Amino acid sequence: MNAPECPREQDVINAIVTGRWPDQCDESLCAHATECAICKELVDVTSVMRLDREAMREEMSLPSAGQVWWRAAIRARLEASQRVARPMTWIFGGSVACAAGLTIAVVQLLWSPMRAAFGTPSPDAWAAWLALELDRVLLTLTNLGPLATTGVFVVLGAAACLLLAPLALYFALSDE
Amino acid sequence: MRDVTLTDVELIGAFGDADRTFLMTEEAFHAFYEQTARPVWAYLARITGDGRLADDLLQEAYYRFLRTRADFESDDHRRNYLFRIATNLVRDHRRRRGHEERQLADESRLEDVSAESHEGDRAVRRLDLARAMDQMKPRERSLLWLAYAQGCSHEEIADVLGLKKASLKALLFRARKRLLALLSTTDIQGGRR
Repeated sequence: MNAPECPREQDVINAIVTGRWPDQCDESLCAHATECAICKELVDVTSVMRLDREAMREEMSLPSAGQVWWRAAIRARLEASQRVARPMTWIFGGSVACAAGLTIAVVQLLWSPMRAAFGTPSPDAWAAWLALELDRVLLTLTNLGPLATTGVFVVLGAAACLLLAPLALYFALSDE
Repeated sequence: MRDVTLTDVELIGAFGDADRTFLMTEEAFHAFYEQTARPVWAYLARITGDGRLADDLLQEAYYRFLRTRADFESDDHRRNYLFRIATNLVRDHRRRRGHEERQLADESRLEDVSAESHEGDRAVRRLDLARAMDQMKPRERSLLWLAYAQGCSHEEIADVLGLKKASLKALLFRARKRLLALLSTTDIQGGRR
């Protein structure tokens, strides 16, 4: 559909929007609008729109510029602090996942020999089994060379760190 | 946006840093807000059909405006950019919430208009316009409001709505025809003709 045009369309709209219509605008424009079908339509539409806009302006209660600025400033600062805290949250999550994985692995490693040795474990059987296992580990460490022993302690140290890191991070973050 | 508590304020401390966060200074923002807040709110209220939603979107529009790093050639460019943000916010909101909720909000707003406005022809004409606008497509509402309530030029409307200037005249013409048809229908239904 081709839109019919009138060269004075924008003049009519501007006159109505700025409140000059019909008393303070060019007489020739008013005369034109009564004859031109397009401009007549524009007067109808623009007049009712302007009436609505002016009524809305009277009714609206807006926050002050200071309030809007203040809220925006607070939000910007909160978002900035959240951005800074995001890597810490990732580290914390990663540590928790590592610790959980390590715990599951240790339990899985110990579970099968325990079941094979005791069937239904009782507290006394647990204690005896732990003492036996400890002796065996110490014996193995004694038989290994000093370099291998150091390696085992490094691995155990790393595992301890993995278990303690989430706790340390928790306390660090909870202070903030 | 969630309510800001005193604790938030205490955590954040002094607000002098905001000038560094935003490109615009507070004084410049105050002047810009005084010029633009009313027309932007009216635009948002009319195209969403919900005054309370317009309040929320107004705050969001200014926040996004303040966070932008764009360079503005003139005041008009700056104002048009704000209207474009407002238009995009309404689109996003409509996508999220869907049509049904909007209809409910529109109905409640129609009651507000009739209750709050002065008696007489002015209130009736506004109610007719509100009902007619409710039946139009969101893009048509934006087009009509920007062209005939704001008095924006075709270039400005094309810029705000992201449309090609060549297609704008036809779209505007069709929207205008539709509005007039709807207005005459509401007049007939109301028994005023």
